[in-house]
Amino acid sequence: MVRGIYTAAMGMLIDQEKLNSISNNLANVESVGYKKDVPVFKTYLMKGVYAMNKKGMAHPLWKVGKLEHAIIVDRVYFSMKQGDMVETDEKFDFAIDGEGFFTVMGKDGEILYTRAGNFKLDNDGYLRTNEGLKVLDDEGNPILWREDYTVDEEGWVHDGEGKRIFRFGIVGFDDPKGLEKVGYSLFRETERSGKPEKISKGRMKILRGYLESSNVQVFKEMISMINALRHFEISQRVIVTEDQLLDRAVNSVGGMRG
Amino acid sequence: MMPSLYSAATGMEAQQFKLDIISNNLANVDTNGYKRVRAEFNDLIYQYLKSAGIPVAQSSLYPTGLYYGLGVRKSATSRIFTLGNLIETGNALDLAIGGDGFFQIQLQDGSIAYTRDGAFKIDSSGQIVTSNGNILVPNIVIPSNAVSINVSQDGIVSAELPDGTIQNLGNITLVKFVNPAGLKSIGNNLFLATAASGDPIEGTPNQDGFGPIHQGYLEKSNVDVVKEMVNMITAQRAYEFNARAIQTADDMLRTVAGLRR
Repeated sequence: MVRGIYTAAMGMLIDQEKLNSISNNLANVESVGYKKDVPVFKTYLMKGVYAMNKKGMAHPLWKVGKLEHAIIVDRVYFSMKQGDMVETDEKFDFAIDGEGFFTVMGKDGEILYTRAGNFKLDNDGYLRTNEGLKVLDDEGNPILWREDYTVDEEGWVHDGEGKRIFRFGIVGFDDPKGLEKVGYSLFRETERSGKPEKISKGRMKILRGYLESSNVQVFKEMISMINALRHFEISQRVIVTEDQLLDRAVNSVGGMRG
Repeated sequence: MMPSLYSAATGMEAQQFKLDIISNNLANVDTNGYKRVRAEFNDLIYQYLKSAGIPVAQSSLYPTGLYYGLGVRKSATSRIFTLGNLIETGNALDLAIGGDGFFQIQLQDGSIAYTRDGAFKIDSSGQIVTSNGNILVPNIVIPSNAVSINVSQDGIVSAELPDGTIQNLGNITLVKFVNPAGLKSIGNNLFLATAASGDPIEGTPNQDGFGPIHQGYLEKSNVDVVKEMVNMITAQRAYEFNARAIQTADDMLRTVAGLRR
C-alpha cells in the first residue's frame, strides 16, 4: 500500500525535472545556436510478479507480469536538430547548414565548440564571439579578418584576388549529443562525443549573413508543460487517495471499536 | 525552490529587454542615418547533478549527463550598419554616404564624434554644421554671397559666386572603423570611437572602400518596420510562454502544498 505513495512521489519529482528543462528551453527560444534539452526517463526497480504455488511461494514459471516501482530521470540530452536559418545581412553572422561546430579558444586556452555564429570583429581585426572568445581556423590559429575577405560555402576564406587564405575551423563529432553543454552557447568535448574531426565535403555549408536560430519549438514545449502539470496533479491525487486508504486501514479496519 | 521559476524569469527579462530594443528601433524609424540595434542572447551555465543522490539501476551511457540549465542572458546589443534608403531632398547641404564611412563632427568640448546623418545646415558665420549646431570637420566656410553650393562624389565642396566664378572651399573627408559595431552611441545620431571600435581611419569619399557622397540626398534609418513588428510579436509571445512556465511551477508548488490537509 505504501509503495504507491513512493511511486507517485517519484513521478512528481520527474515532472519537476521536466519543467526545469522546459523552462530553460522556453527561456532560450531566442538564443542563437541553442540546442534544446530533452530529459529521458527510465523505469526503476522493475520486478517480475509470479503466481504463488500451494505452499504460498512464488512459482518461478508462473509469471503474471511485471511491476514497475518507479520512474527516474536517466539523463538529459540535447537535440542536435538544426534550427531555422534566419537571414540577417550582417557581415559577421555565420551559420552552419548541416553538421559541425565552429571552434573557439576558451578563456584558459581550452578549445570549445559552438553553433552560434554571431561573431564580432575586435579593434585588432580578430573575429570573436560575444563572450570575447577568438574564433579559430582549421589549423587552430585565431582568425584575423581583412576587409577584402570573402567566404565560400565550404568555409574557405579568400582574399580580394580570390586566393585561398585559410579555412574556418569547422569540426564534427562521432556523437555530437555526447558533448557537454558549457553555457553561453558553447560545448565541450567529452569521451562520449569522441575527438573532433574534419567534416567531409557536402555535409555542411557555410552561410554568411545568416544565423541559426534556437531549435526550441514553443508548441511542443507548451504541450509538454501542460502534460507535466496534469500528471503532477494526478500523482498528487494518488498520494492523497493512498493516504486516505491508509487512514481507513489504521483507524477503521484496525480499530478495536465495536 | 524550483529552478524553473528562476530560469523562466530570466526568459521574461530577456524578452522585455528585446522589446525595449525594438521600441527604440521603431521610435527611430524616421531618424536620418539611424542604424538599428539587435539584441542577442545565449544560454546561462548548466547545473550538473552528476549521480549524487540519484539512484541509477543500470550503468548509463551518460554518466554525468544529468543537468538542468539556468536560463538565458543578454549576450550583446549589436548595431547593424547596413545602408538605409537614400531619399532625394534636393537640399544642397543634405549629404548621404552611399557606402562605408562616417562624417566627423566637432562637439562643444572639442572632441570628435562621428555620424551618418548628413542633414547639414549653415550657421551665422557660414560654417557647415549639424542640426544641433556642431561643426563639420574639416571645417568648411561657405561665402555669404554664394549662389549655389556643389559637393562632388569624392567630397570636394565648391561654391558658385554671383560673378559666375567657381570657388573651391575644401574637401569633406570620411572615416571608417575596423569594427563599427563597437562604436558608442551618444544620441543625436552621434557615435564616439572606443577601444572596441579601433581608431578612425580617414580617407577620401569614393576611394579606398569609402562610399561616395551624394548631394541632395539623405540616408534614412535602416529600420525595417515589418521585421521589427514581427520581432515584437515573437518577443511578446515568448514573454507569455515564459510567464506560463512560472505559472506552471507555481501550480506545482500549490499542488505540493495540497498534499497534506
